[in-house]
Parts: sequence; structure tokens; C-alpha cells
Amino acid sequence: MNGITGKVLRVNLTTKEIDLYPIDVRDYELYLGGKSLAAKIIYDSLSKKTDAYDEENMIVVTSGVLTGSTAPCSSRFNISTISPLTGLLTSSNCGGNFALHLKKAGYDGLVITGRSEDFVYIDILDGEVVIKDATHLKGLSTSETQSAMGGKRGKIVIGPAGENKVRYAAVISEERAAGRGGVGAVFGDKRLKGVIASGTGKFSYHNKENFKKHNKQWINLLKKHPITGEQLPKLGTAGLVSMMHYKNLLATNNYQAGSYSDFEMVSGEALREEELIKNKGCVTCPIQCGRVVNAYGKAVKGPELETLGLLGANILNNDLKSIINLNYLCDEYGIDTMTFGGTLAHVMELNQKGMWDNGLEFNNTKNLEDLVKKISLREGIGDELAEGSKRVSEKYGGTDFAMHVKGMEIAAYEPRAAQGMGLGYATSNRGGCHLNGGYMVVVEGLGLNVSGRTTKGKAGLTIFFQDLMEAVSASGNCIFTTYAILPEFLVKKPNHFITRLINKLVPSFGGLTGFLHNNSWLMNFNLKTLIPQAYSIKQITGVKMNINKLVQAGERSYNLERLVNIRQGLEGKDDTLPKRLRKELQRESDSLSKVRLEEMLSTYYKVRGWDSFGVPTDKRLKKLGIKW
Amino acid sequence: MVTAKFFGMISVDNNLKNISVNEGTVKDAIKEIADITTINKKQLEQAVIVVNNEFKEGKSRFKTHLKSGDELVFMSPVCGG
Repeated sequence: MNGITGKVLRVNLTTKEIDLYPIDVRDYELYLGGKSLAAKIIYDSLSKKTDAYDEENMIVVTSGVLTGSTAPCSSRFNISTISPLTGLLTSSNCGGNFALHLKKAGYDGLVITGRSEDFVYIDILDGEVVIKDATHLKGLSTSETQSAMGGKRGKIVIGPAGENKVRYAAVISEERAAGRGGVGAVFGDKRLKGVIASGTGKFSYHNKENFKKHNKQWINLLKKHPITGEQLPKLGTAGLVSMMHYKNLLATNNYQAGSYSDFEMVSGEALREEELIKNKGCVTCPIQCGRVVNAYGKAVKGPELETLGLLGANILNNDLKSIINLNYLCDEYGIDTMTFGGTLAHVMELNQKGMWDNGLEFNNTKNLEDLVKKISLREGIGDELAEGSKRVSEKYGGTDFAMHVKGMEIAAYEPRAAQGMGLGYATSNRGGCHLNGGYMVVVEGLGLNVSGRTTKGKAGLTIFFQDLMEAVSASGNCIFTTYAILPEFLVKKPNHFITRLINKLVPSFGGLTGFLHNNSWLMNFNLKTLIPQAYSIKQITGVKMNINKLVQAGERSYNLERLVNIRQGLEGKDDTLPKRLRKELQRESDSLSKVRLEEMLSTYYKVRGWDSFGVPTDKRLKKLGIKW
Repeated sequence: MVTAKFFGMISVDNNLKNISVNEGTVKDAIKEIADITTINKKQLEQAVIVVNNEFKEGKSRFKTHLKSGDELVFMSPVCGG
């Protein structure tokens, strides 16, 4: 098989043993890499329920089958482990260049087990692996750590927050973050400060000529598409804030509302006009959605949409500069901006309601920058906030407005105006994640204009996008490339009668997507301009990849992650949302403005081939080739 | 006067955030904006239109009446990301 090294490195930090994980080459075809291959490794390796901080817990870092090629946006890597936030499997995806360097160094992935006595880092150079002392790096920020490691090589590191096991500590690579789920805390628990990798390995193609021809078309498609060719380069992900406000999709005041009166002060337009220095993007990316802005006199990575939303509208913060500074500090100390924002909003509401006198108030950014440091060092009140909103609510109350799913704080999209997004959050394997949840909000108002008020057809559509995004992510590709699936005409001409008709009809297609999900052999073909990833994988690896196999790889992965979670104690009742989103109307004038999960969940289970308790049936697992 | 606001690519490409226009219909406002700014009429007609926080769709959107103090929003339809 081309496009891979076929090697996954295994390092035991307790025994210092270094060897190869016994990977089956067939698993690359079935799981593609990334989060899916990581789920397979964790599923096979952990035989019983494992705590995030058990020595047996493992960190799996993986690239995808597209990584190393010149396919657009294909340099991403994934970190999976048992999450200290959720107790379930988490997968955290990150851009930058680490995956390229790891593959050039000779490995598709890295499995880290055990626990070191003192802080160490792993140095991988052209196949040679050395565990090195990192005690001199302890306490350094993520940028200081990367500088101290030296050289223009791929690096993943933690900051003080990871060392102190903040439950939402991130792993940072260059300025990019594997932020979600607390993967950095598991690094800290294992006393692993980071990994550095580089090498001279060459990438092999099955059919380079066909790949190059297709690749050119794919890049042109992305450059021409209104979302990936215009919106994202010019406004970044932050460009969504304005539309989210008008569509009641912008989490505001700890999700007590879906729109924010000061949204114009913290929008993508404001970021561009007032703060943007230049665009930036990952290696091989033609989109360049990253922003470079100024914080504390340095040119640094600007905030993404989620950070703008959760550290802006959701805590009633209209100070763009403070969000930029907080974003920078979170990256430097190594904490997830999203869970930080979600936790802040929760404790601010606790304070407002007189349930915990903590001094933190909505619409007041005083001391927040200092709070990032306190959380990271677990000092004073920071020690409590370092636990995340679920644990804080279990101590101080307010579980109804602790805005997490399965322990992980939900993203900045307010789901009471997007039913499919609500279902996605509730069923996402890693907790309150918009991407793992299928990102239905793009269909329900931010790209297409399908009604977010109806639950009709949303189960089938959510499953389709969950599986597709799972597979695209696993391949090493950025999920932003999937926007090309939205026809340009529909996106550019929202008022055309054809667009409006299709938007009205899409909920009725939900049944069709459900049918296709269970009869995926009908998609045994390639549509190069609709889902270019499948054809690209085929030309790189030589595997007979098509839309059916790609989507089925996503489904296989989604089910495997679910099985790991069930082994970790997950039950169907955990597929839910905070009470605020299910019971409180977002707008009193609209009786449908709450997430009607009960209207969607049973259909979701049925289409997924899961029983009424949310457990995959033997029949479904057999179809997917999974042994349980 | 009516406040016309611009978001997304319409705002970026024309370097314009908002202007005041006269009372009348949305159609009148579009003509006035096209006359006094660099935004072309077609771009405005294809935009997502919101009047006082209410989305206006279909041909009838152009007939929506605007009175003094109203807010008329034009958003480029491309807002996915």
C-alpha cells in the first residue's frame, strides 16, 4: 500500500521500551488513519474501563493516508486518549506541520503508554527514537518549550496547564492547538512535555499522474468555491459571527440567548478591519483561514470563531482586544479556549445567581487574563475552574445550566435554532463538539438555509455528515474541504426559487440519506468534484476507494468510538443536552425554540443500527467488520 | 432615515459597514445604495436581506416598506465556515 510508512511507533514511558505497534495494513483501508485508526488501536489495546490518569491509558498520535501528499489541507494530525473531562474516548485534531514531519521521520503514528518518573520528551529523527530529559523545560510556555527544543522540526508540546493536569489542557504545535478533551492533561500525567520529529522519508504514490491531475482540479474547486475561496480566506472562521447573531445561533450569556447586541464589536468583520495583520494557513492549504493579529506587541495567531463566540458573546464580552489576548495566553499556557469560555460562563452565572461568590461577572473582563495563569497553575479559584463546568456544577449546583455534553463544553453554536446541531451535540462521541456532531448548523442557516426549527429528516442528515466528516478527518484532511459538497449555486443565490425550493425539500431528503446509510452499496462510485477525498485516496494508496467505502469507513469509526465509550460506561441516557437547551425556550415568541431531542433520537438510533439503549447491534457490527 | 448595514463579503469587498438611506421600499433602498456606493445592484439583490431582525425572502422582499429608524441588513449569502 502506498502513501503510508506502515509503521506505528510505540513508546512505554514507564519501562522506556521502544518498539513498533503491531498494525495490520488492512486497518489503513478500513480506518484511513487519524482519529479512526487511533480508535482501533485504543479499542484493541484497552480491555477494560480505564481512567484518564491510569498508567494504562494511552496517547495515540496519528496522521492520515493523505498526509505527506500534496492533497489540499492534508497536513492535519489527531491525538486520541481517554479524556480527563469526559472519561470517554476523546480525539483532538490539529493543523500545522507535525504530521508531515512524523511521517518523514518514518512513522504514521505514535502510541505512548506508561508514565515517566520525571518530565521527558521524545525525539524522533529518521526512525531513531530517544527519550530525553525535559526537566529543564518544566514550567515553560508552549512557545518557549518549542524554541528550547530547537530546530525547524515538527513539535507537539504542553504548557504549564498540561503539567498541572488542568482537565482541558491542550497540546500545541507551532501556534495550532489540539485543544479539546484535555489531551494535554494526559501528556502531563505521563510527564511527557512533548514530541519532536523530523526526517528525510519520501512519500510514495500509487498513481502519481492521476493524483496530480485530480489534485489540480480539487485545488481549483476549493479556490473557486464561495466559502473556501472567498469567505474563509477573507474573514476566517470568525466571518460567521454576524450571520449567527441574526439567525439566533450565537451562544450568548451562557446560552440564555442566541443573539448578542454587541456582536459587531467582536465579529469577523471587526477582526479584519481592526486587528488583522495577514492571513496564515497550514502546510498544503490553499484556503488560509488563519488570522495573524497583534497581542502584547507580538504577531500571533488570532482567535477562531469558537473562541470569539465563547469568550465574547457567551460571557457578554464586547472587547475584541481582550479576546485576542485571552486566546494568546490560553495557547501559551496550553489550555482549550472553548472549555475555558464555557466554564467561565457557567461560573459567572453561578455568581450572578448567588450560588457561588467567585467574583466573576458577565460583561466584565477584569482579571480574566490573570485567571488563565491561575487556572494553568491551579492557584486559588483557578484550581476549581481547572476542573471544567461539569465538576464545578456538581460542587456548587447549576447542573441545568452547565453547558456541556458528557462532560465536554459545547461549541459556540446555539442549537435551539438548529435542531440537527442539537442532535449532533447530544450524540457526538467526544461530547459537546460541533464537528464530531456533524456540523449540521452549516446546512441549517450558515451555508444553506434549511430550517433549523424542524426536526424532520435531521437524524438521517446528521448521521450522513457525522460519518463523512469522521472519514475526512481520519484521512488527514481538513474538514473545511467538505464545504465543496454544498453546491456553489445554492450558496451564492439564496433567494433564487430553486435554492429556496431545495432548502424546503432537504428535510425530506433525511429519509433518503438514512436509506443510503443502510444501502451504501448504491454509492459504489466516485464523484470527483463532490467528494474529492475518495478519488485522491484511491490514487495515493491504490485501495479501491469510492464514496461508499469512504462513508462506511466513517460509520465504522463512529461505531468503534461508541464501543470504546460503552466500555468506559457510556449509556444511552448520556446522549442528551443540558436542561436549558431542552426545556427553556430560546425565544418566548417561538414555541419551537428548544431542542426537541425526543423527536429525533430514536430515529437516529434506528438508522444507525443501534438498539433502544444506544448500543450498536450485532448485525450492524458484523456488517462493519467489528468484533465486540 | 433608515440604517443600512453590510456584513460578510459585501462589507469587505466594498469597505463599507453602514450608511443611512431614505424611507421607502427595500427596492428603493437598493437603488439608492447602488447609486451612492461601489456596491452593484445585483450584489444587493442577491444578498440575504434582514429588516428589523426579520429575514425577508422571495420577490416580495423588495416591496418591504422601510420607515425612519428601521434597520436594513445586507449579508453576503456566503457565510459558511
